Amino acid sequence: MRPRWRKVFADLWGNKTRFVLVVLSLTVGLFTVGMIAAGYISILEDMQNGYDSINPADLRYITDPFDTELLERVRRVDGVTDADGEVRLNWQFMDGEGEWKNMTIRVLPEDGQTIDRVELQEGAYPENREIMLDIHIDTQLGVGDTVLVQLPSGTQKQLPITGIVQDQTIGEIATSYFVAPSFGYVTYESLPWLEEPLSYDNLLVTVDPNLSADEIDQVSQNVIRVIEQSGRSISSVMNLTPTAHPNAGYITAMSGLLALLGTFSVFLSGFLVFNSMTSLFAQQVQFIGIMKGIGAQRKTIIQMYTVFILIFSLIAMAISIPTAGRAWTGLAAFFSSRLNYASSEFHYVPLAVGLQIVIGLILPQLAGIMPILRASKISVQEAISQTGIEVESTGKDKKEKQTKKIKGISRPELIAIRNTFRRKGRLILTLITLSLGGAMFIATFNVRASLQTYVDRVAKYLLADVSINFDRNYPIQEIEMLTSTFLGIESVEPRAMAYCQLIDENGDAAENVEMLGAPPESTLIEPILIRGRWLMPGDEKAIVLNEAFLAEYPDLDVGDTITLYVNRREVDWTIVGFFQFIGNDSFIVYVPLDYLNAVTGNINQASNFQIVATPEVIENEQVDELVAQVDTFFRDKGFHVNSTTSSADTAGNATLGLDTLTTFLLIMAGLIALVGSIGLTGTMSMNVMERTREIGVMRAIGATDAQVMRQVIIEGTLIGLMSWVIATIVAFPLSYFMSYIINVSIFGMFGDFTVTATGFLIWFGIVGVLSMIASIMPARNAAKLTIREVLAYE
Amino acid sequence: MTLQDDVIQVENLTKVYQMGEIEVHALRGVSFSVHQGEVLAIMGPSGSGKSTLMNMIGCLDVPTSGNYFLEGELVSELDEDRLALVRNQKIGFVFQKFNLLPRATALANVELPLRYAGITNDRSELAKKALEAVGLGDRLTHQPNELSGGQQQRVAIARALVNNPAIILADEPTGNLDSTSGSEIKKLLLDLNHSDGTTLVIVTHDPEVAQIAQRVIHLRDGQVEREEVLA
Ligand SMILES: Nc1ncnc2c1ncn2[C@@H]1O[C@H](COP(=O)(O)OP(=O)(O)OP(=O)(O)O)[C@@H](O)[C@H]1O
Ligand SMILES: [Mg+2]
Repeated sequence: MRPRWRKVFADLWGNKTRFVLVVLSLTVGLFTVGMIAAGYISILEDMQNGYDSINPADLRYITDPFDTELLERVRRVDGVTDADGEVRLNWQFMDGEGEWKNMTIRVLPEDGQTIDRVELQEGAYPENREIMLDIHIDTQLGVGDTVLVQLPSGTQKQLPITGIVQDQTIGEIATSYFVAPSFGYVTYESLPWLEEPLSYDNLLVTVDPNLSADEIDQVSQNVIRVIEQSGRSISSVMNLTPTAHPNAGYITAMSGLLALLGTFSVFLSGFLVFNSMTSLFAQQVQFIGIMKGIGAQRKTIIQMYTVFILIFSLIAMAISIPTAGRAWTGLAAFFSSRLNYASSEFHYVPLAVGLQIVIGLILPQLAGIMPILRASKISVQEAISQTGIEVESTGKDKKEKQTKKIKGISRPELIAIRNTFRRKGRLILTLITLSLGGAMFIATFNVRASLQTYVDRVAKYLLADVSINFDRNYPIQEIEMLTSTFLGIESVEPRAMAYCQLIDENGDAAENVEMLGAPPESTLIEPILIRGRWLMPGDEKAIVLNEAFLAEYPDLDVGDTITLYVNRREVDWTIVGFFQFIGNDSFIVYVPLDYLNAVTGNINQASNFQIVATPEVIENEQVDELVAQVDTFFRDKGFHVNSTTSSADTAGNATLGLDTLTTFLLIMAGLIALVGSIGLTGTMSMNVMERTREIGVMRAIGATDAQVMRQVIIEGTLIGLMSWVIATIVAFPLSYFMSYIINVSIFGMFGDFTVTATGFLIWFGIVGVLSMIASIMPARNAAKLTIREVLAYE
Repeated sequence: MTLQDDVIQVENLTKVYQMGEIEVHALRGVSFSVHQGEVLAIMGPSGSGKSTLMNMIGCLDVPTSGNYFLEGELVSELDEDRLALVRNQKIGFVFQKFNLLPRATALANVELPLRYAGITNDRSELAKKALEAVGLGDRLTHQPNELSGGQQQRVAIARALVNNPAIILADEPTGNLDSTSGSEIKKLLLDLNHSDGTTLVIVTHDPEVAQIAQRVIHLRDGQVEREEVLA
C-alpha cells in the first residue's frame, strides 16, 4: 500500500467506533430498504400466484343434488374450462382438549380435485372412512390420530387422520377466514357411511381466463340453463371473479403500508448514511490539506476517497443483501401462516437487490463527496491550520441571539444549547432521521388504536354472551320455555335473518342486502347512530340502514322509502335511521323481527337466539361451559343445531386478522425504531466524539467529570426532545394516512381515526434513554483518557 | 520533607510512553522544585520531554513513577474530583495552541473556570476584570475565530488567571505567535508575576522569553542537563 493510502486507512480504521457506526448505519439502512422492497414487490404477487395455483373457482352454484353426469354437461358449456362437484357438511368434532367444536367438511370429488384444490402439507390423502384436516385451526390433532365426529343425526364416528392440508379457499364463501370453523376433508365414497346421499350439491366452475366480466356473466347464464334443464333448482349463484385470495384485503393493506414504509426507509437510511459519512470525513479535512500541500492533485484525492467509500459500500452490501431477502422470507412465512396464503421460498428479488446496490453504491459516495470536495477546495493553509476542534465556521451572531432569548436557563445549559445548534446541517439531518423514525413508530400505535375501535364497534352489536344457530326455524315460545329453566341463562332473544335484494328505480335488483330481524326493544344492541333513530316498539315497516347505503346512495335520508325484494316479494320500507357498523362495504339492515317474520311467513319463529348468561356464569368465567351445555342440551332434544358460539369468540376471531396486521405494524415499527435508534446513537456519539478535544479543554481548566457529563447529557437530551416534538407533529398526518390505507384495503372505506398516547409515550421513553446512553458512552470514554491524550485527539 | 515555600516539588519523575512494542522514555528521573513567586523557564531541544513534564505538573497526565508535591500535597494520592479542583483553583494552564472553546465568546471562555468552581455571583464581572487585565476589555463578545492569535492567547491567559491560581503553567505560549505578539505575551506574564506574585513555569525555545526567568532548567533526553540561575 502506498503511504498516503495507508495513512487514510489508518485514520479511518483508527476511529473504529466511527468506522463501525458508518458501516452499521449503511448496513441497517440497506437491510431495511432491501427487506421492505422485497416485501412490497413480492407480497401481492406471491399471494396471487399461490392462490392461482389451487385453481380457484370462478363460479359456484348451490343446487339440488347432482352427479358426474351434470358435471360432464357443464364442462361442455362454451367458455367453461372445468367443473367440479363438492359437498359441504357441518359437523361437530372433539378437539385435542376434549371439547366439541364446529367443523365444516368438504367432500373431495370422486375423480380427484381440480378446482379449489387443497395442498397437502403432511401425510397422505384419505381413503374411504378417513379424514384430512386443515392446518390453520389448532386442534392439537395430527396425522396418525383419530378424530371423533358427531353427525347431524347425533351418530358419532371415529375417523383416522391421514393428512394435514392448507386450504386457501377458507373464507371465500360464507364466514370470513378468521371466524371460520375447522375444516375437514373426506372422500366421496365415504358419504353413505357418513349418512349422506352419494351426490354433490355445490357446483364449482372455472372459466377461460381471457373472458371479460360480461362474457363470464353470459357463461354463467348458460351454466344455469344447463342445470335448470336437468330439472334441478339453484338456491345460490356466486360469481367469484376476479378470483382473489379471501384475505387479499389484509395483504393489500400490508402492501400499501410496505410502500409507505419503504419510501420512508429510503429517506431514513439516506439521512443516516449521510450523517455518519459527513462526520467521518469531516476529520479528513486537515489531512487533505496536507496532501495538497505536498502536491497531491484534487483528482487523486477524490479517487482515493471514492475507493474507500466503496469499501464501506461493499461491506454493507455483503451483509445486507443476503440477509434482507431472507428476513423478508421469514416474515412472509409468519404472515402467510396467519393469513392463510402460500408465500414463496427464499429467492432474490432482482428489483429489491438492484435498489440495494444502487443505494448502497451511490448514497455513500454522495454523502462522502461533500466534505471531501469542500476539503479539497479550501486552501492548504486553511486546512492545515484547522486544529481539529472546529471544522466548520459558524454564523454565530444569529445563534448568539437565539440562545440569548431563552430566559431562565443557566450558563452551562446555554452553552449546551448552542453546541446543539452549532452544526445546523448535521442537526437538521439528525432531527429529520429521528423524527421520521419516531413518527412512524408513533403512527403504528395510532393505527392499532383505530383497528381496536373497529373491534369495539363489532362488540356493540354482539352484547349477548352466547349465540345459538339452528338449521331451521323453531317457535320462539318453545325455545324461551326450554331456556327459562336452564341454569345459567338470564334471558334469551330471537333473531331472524334474511337475504334480500335492494330494488333500484328501474325495478332491477341492485344490491344484495343482509336483513336482520331483532325485537325493537332489544337491549342486546347498542347501535352507533349516524342519523335518525333505532327501531322502536310499534314500528312495522321501519328499517335502519348501515353506513354502506350512505356511501353508495348519498341521497338516501330518514323518511325515504326503499324497496327490498324479500322472500320473492317486493316490500317497501320506511327508513327511520342510519347506523354505523364496522365500516364494511356490505349492506346490512335491521328491521323489526315480527314484521320480518310476517313477510317471510315464519310467524313467531326464529333460527337464531341470543342468550344472556347470568351474572354468576360471567363472574366465574363459565361462558364456554354454558356454550357447551346449551349446545348439547338442544342436540340431545333433537333440535337441528348448526352452531353455538360465544360472542367473545366471535368478536375475538374477527379481530384475529387485525391482530396479524397489528403484529405486522409492530414489527415494522420495531424496525423503524431500530434504524432510528442507530441513527440517534450514531449521531449523538459522533457529536460527542467530535467534541472530545473540547472536553479535554474543559477538564484542563478544572471541570469535573460530573460537570462534563451534565453538559453532554443536556445536549443529547435536547436533540432527542426536539426530535420527539417534531415526531409527534408528523405522526398525526402519518397516522391518518396509514389508518386510511388499512381501512380502505380491508373494510373498503375509511372509518374512524383514533389517536392514542401509547406510541407517543413509548417513543418518548426510547428517545430519552437512547439520547442519554448515546451521549454518555463517548463522554465516558473521553473521561477515561488523560487530559493530555484528549487534547491530542483529532 | 518539603520546604515551606516550595510550591512545586518533583522527585525522580519518569514517564514511559508505551507505543505497541516500543517504550519511549520521555522523562528519565527529573527532580527539581519551584518556590513561591518564582519565574522558572524550562528549555531544551525538541523531544527532550518539556511538554511531558508540563503535563505532569499541570495534572493533565500522570507520571510512570516518582513523586509530585503541589503545595505540599502528593498529587498521586488525589482522586479525580480533587484533581479537577486542583486544576481549577491552583493551576492556570496556557497552551501553545490556545485551546479556547470555539463557539464561546471571550467572556464565556474566561467565565468557564469560575463556573466549574461553582461561583455564581459576579462571574461575568470577574471574567471582565481578567480580560481587562490582559488588555482585551473591548473584545468581550468576540469569538476565538474573530480574534488574532495574540489576542486568543491573551484570552487563554485571562482564563488561566481568573481563579487566582497559585501557579501559571505555560507551554510555549509564544510558539504560535509572531515576535511582536510574543513579546507582548511575555510582558503580560511577567506583569502578572510582579503584581500578584503568581508562580510562573514557562516552557520556551526562545532565549528572550527565558530571560524573564529567575532560573532556567535545561532538559535533554528526559533528564535535567543543567540548571542556570539568572539575576
Ligand atoms: N503520546 C506519546 N506517545 C509516545 N511518545 C510520545 C508521546 N508524546 C511524546 N512522546 C515522545 O516523548 C518524547 C518527549 O516529547 P515531548 O512532547 O515532551 O517533547 P518536547 O520537549 O515538548 O518537544 P517540543 O519542543 O518539540 O514540543 C519525544 O521523544 C516524543 O516522541
Ligand atoms: Mg512540546
